Amino acid sequence: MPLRTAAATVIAILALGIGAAITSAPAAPRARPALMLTVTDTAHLKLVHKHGEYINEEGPATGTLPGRVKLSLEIGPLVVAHFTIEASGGSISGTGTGKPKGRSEEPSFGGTMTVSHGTGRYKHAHGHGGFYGTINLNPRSPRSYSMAVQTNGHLSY
Amino acid sequence: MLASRPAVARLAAKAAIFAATSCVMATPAAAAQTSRLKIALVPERLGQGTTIEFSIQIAKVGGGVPSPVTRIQLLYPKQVGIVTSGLGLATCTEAVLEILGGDGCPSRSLMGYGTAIAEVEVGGEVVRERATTSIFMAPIAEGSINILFLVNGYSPLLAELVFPGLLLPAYPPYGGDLSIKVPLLESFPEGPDVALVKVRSTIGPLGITYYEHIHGRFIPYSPSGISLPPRCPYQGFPFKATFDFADGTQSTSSERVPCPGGHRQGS
Repeated sequence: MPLRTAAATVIAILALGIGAAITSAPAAPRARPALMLTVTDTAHLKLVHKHGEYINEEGPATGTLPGRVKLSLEIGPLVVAHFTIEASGGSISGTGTGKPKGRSEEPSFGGTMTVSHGTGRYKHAHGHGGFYGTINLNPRSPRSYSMAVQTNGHLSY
Repeated sequence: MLASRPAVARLAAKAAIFAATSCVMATPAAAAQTSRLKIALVPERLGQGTTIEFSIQIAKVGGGVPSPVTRIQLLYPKQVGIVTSGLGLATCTEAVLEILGGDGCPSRSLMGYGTAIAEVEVGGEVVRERATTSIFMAPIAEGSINILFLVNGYSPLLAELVFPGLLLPAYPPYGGDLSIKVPLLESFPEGPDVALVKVRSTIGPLGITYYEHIHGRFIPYSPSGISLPPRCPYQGFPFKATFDFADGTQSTSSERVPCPGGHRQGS
C-alpha cells in the first residue's frame, strides 16, 4: 500500500508538471501527437479485372477501420497485394505479402503487411502487421477469384 | 525414386543390359555442356489463355554423351499467370504417381506433358532412351507451390522416374522460377548415369481435358490456360533456363518470345 501511494504521488506530480509545462508554453502551432490504433479488418472481395497474374479486387471491409477495400493482387509463387482502404475521412494504402498454403484450388496465404501512406486524416499513416486470406482460383467456380482477406496490426496516423 | 509399377519389366531390362554390357567402362565426366532453350506460346494472343511449349537441347562440347543434368531452373516472365491459369486445381502425390502412375491422379492435377530423350554410352556406342513426361500439381507445402514430374521411359529401357519441382519467386523481369532437382538414374547397376539430351514439353491446356464433378456426372472441359497480359512487355516475353550438371559445370540459355504481330509493346 505505501508503495502504491508513493507511485500515485509521483504520477500526480508528473501530471501536474506536464500540465504546468503545457500551460506555460507559448501559444504556437504544434504538430498533433500521432494517434495509434490496433487494427483488425476483414474484407470480402470480388474480381473487378484480371490480366495475366494480376488481379484487381474490390469489396467492403469491416472492423476497426470499416470502408471499401481496393486490392491489386499479384498471384505467383508469392502473393503480393497492394491495397487501399477508403475509410471515413481518408484512405490508407500499403502492401501485403504472403506465402500460399492449403488447397491449390482455393489456397490460403499468410504473411506480413506494411502501411506506407494515406490521405485525408490518415495522410501520415504508417504501420505494420499480419496479412491473411484465401482466394478461389477456379475460373469455373461461381466464386471464382473471390477473396477473404484479414489484416491486423498497429497503425499510426 | 523409381516407381514400382513396371518394376519387373524394368529389372528384366536392366538385367539384360547389365549382362550385355558388364565389361564396359564408364566414360569420364564431360568437360562442359551447351544448352538451347526454345519457347513457343500456343496460341500467342494477348489477354488470352495460352500454353507454354518449351524444348530443351543439351549437348556435350566436342560431341559425345553430356554429363547428366542434376538441376534445371526455368525462369518465366512476370506477366504470365501460371498460378491463375486454372491449371492444377487438384493435386497428386509422389506416392500415387509411383504406385499408380499418372492415371491414378485427378485429371485436374495434370499441367502439361511431353517427351524426353536421354543418352548413355554403352561399349563405345550411344544408346538413346525415349520417354514420355507429365507434369502434375502437388500439394502446396511449406509455403511453396510444388510440382511433380513423371518420366516414363519406354524404349529400350522400361523405367519410371518421379521427381519434384518447386515454383519459387524470381526477380524481374521474371515472375517465377520453376526449380527442378533431377535425380541421377543409373543405366544399369554400377553403370554410367543416363544423361538428358532433349525435352519437349508443355505447361498449359493444350491437349488436356479436365473433368468436373457436377450433379453426379463428370463433365469434361478444357482449362482456360496460362493467361497472357493484354499488352506485350518491352522486347517480348523473357525465359531463361539454367542447367547444373553432375560434372559440376553449368549452362544457361535464354529465349525471348517476340510480341505477336500488330500489337503495341507495353513498358
